[in-house]
Amino acid sequence: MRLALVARQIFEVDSRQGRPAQVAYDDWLQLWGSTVLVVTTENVPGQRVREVKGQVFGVVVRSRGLGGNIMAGLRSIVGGEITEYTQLLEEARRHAVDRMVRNASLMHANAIVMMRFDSAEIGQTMSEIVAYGTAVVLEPAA
Amino acid sequence: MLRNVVIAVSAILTCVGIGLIASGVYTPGWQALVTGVIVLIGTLFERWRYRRIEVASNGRWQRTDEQFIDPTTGDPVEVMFDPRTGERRYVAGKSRAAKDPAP
Repeated sequence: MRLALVARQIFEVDSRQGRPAQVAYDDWLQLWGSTVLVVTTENVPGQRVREVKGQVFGVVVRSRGLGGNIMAGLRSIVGGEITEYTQLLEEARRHAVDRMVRNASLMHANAIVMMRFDSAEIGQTMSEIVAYGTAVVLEPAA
Repeated sequence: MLRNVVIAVSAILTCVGIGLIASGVYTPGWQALVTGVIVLIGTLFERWRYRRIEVASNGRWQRTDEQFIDPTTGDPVEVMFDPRTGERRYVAGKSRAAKDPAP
């Protein structure tokens, strides 16, 4: 039921843009079941960009708890890797990429090109990670 | 290890606070008790994890080529993708040697 609703929405949008419903249906079948490729390059070898969907991003702000910050503070006394903050950034990276891919999937894109990360600090204990790129529809180059 | 030390110290601080209050030393007792309880709760119930690394995933998940080494455990992790929802999932991966044995 939900599947048919999504398909109908896609076809209606495409038909408003002057694309035949059958072409839209073929596109939908091709996209359905494909993963969203995320690359930092502008081009993908063997593929060409058929359609640019627009910017796509995933934003997250994460923080360690009081215990984690205390442990990180103690660990910084002797130096070395602060594993608590490594974990924090790794989790934030995954979270941001997941949100970005989900947004790209919502836009019916099958790839994100020129993906970048940006980071900032909020309130000295919170880490902000932004993953962004351009959502596109790739197809095999002729 | 370090987490256990912090938990132990905060638990001792909490006990000391209770002891001081019981023996009539109120101001330092309350200070020790409140500090100990806050650190104890903040350490025990810290929500730092976003999503656990799963052991396996069911059929609707598709394997992607994306892999990485989890910096916490040092184990390889593979990324699975659900095309219906756009959701990603992280599962414990096999080492390259195990997947591609030498001929």
